[in-house]
Amino acid sequence: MTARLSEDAVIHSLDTGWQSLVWKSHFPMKSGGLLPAVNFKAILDAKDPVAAAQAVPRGDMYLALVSEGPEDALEVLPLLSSEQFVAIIDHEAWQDGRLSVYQAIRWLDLYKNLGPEQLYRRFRELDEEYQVALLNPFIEMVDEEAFETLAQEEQDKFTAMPCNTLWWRVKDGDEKVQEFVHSMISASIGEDAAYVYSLLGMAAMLPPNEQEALIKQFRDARLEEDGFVTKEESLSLFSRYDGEPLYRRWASNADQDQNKMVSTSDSSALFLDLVLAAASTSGQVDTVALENLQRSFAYLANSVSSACNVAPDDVNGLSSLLQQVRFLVSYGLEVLADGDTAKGVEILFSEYPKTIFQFALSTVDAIRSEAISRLQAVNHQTAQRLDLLWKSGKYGAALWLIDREFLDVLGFEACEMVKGLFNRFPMVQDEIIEIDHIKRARFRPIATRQDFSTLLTGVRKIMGVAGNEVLQ
Amino acid sequence: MNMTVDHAKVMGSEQKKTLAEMLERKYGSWLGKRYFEVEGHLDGPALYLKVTLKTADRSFVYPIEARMLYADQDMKMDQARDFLLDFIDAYLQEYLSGGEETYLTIDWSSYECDGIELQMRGQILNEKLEELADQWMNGSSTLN
Repeated sequence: MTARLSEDAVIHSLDTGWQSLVWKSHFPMKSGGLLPAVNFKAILDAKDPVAAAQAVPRGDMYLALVSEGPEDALEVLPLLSSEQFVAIIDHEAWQDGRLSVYQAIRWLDLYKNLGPEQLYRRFRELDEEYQVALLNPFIEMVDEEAFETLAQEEQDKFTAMPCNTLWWRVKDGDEKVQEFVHSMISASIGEDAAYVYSLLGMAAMLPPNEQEALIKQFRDARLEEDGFVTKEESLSLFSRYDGEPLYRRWASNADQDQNKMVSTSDSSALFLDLVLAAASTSGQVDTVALENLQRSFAYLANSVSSACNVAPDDVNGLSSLLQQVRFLVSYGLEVLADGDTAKGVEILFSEYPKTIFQFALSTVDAIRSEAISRLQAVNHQTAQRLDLLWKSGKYGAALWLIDREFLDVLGFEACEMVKGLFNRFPMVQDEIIEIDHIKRARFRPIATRQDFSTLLTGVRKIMGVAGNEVLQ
Repeated sequence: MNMTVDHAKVMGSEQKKTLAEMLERKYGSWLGKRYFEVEGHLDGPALYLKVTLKTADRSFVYPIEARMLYADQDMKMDQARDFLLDFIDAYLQEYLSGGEETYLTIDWSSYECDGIELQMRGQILNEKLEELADQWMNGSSTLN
């Protein structure tokens, strides 16, 4: 089997919760919220384009640039503040927790094309640790004495510093790195020779990886400010949550009962959208509060992104997560407000979306527990493993286990329904289609109390059938 | 030169089905009503692999093809097959996660990965429309 299509790779994909099951919502997908309304033309046409550009929050500017394509937004790049530029490098120049010099070069090269002074200015705006970490693997410096001992062909690889007592060279790296470092040094030496001495000296002398480890801490802290939490924190959003206190706080009839979460009404509009519309028209909240709410949804999507293996620069992935977050929060809000939009407004502007999100997941946990206890009658050992995997947040491995161990017993449709239940973002089966005699399941996210009801009824029905078979 | 096309040596029907299922599991959320088919064959010294993303009504058919002269790369056939599948999969990841805006060339283009040379091509087709057009040209269409 290939590496990218191995069991591990597919489990990893299943673990994202949004990438693997075939899902589509019945409600319109909204791209707003994560992709901020940054109008580059308006910025360039503004009376003071620099001020207009720098007024945009750093995260919004970054996402807007990635979405537009930086090569198509060259005129905006010189207008960015150093904070906005550092945010770009924080997001873009890292891969699997390591600094990716090539990714950083890609952005710095854009500035190089705008002029050497732009390259110098932007490079120097980076944290000192960034500057040194980017050059650290590539710089070798020798003094006069060491230089004299080198063979002629080795000496030719070095460039003399203005004092002619120190020489430096790019010791590793391909043509791209060589070209970048030489451009950067030549752009900087004309501006501030002392800076170049200091930079090259530190890059050559400091122990490898030390500066990278330091800058990683700064970068992680900045990303955290923008909502990109650590993997552990992100995973904790999906861990068991006691939703009862929240439910009791808001429920008019404080009696948490799964049947009370079930609605017979079927609205074509997402409850969250109805609540937002009610909030706008009633004048209960101002535009600032609405904007803050939108931002907190983006923050929540960013927070879950690490658990769902979505990189901060993956705009499509983040948009998909935002939809999932909206649907779950809408369902949770509908339960808490008992379908009352006025109460929904009160709850939405009192509780964090994160809290409502965790509450929504907690209601599905109740069905998961019920399913596990029924599955124990089918295969006790496997059900125990499934319980362990789910409770430890290994959703991908749980789905793989269901596919492998329960397909023959439960049958295709039931197995897919259980997979939807144990997906990181719980989903309800929408339809089964058959193509070339192969059945395929289509899902929809839990977005309403009706969806929850369908999932609950479906799971109870299939578990009953499976139990009977075992009894026979 | 006598070239023989050998399908069975590359992968069996169960393996093709498994690979298609793996791809569907991996990329499900982007598929809609589309699904995958995997094919492969040997043509003399060349190994060909084709992963097709398609709808049942063939209104969307995207054959993604990769080929290589595997013996020239000091590879065994199954290593080369897995390498090509990984390469196609890497492209699929970029294509699907990037909003389906990354296209291959219609004719074969050369690529190099880890020092290994291969070629790829791909073109999105609407075979249903082509069929209707053919029917219309032949005067057998019911379209007005």
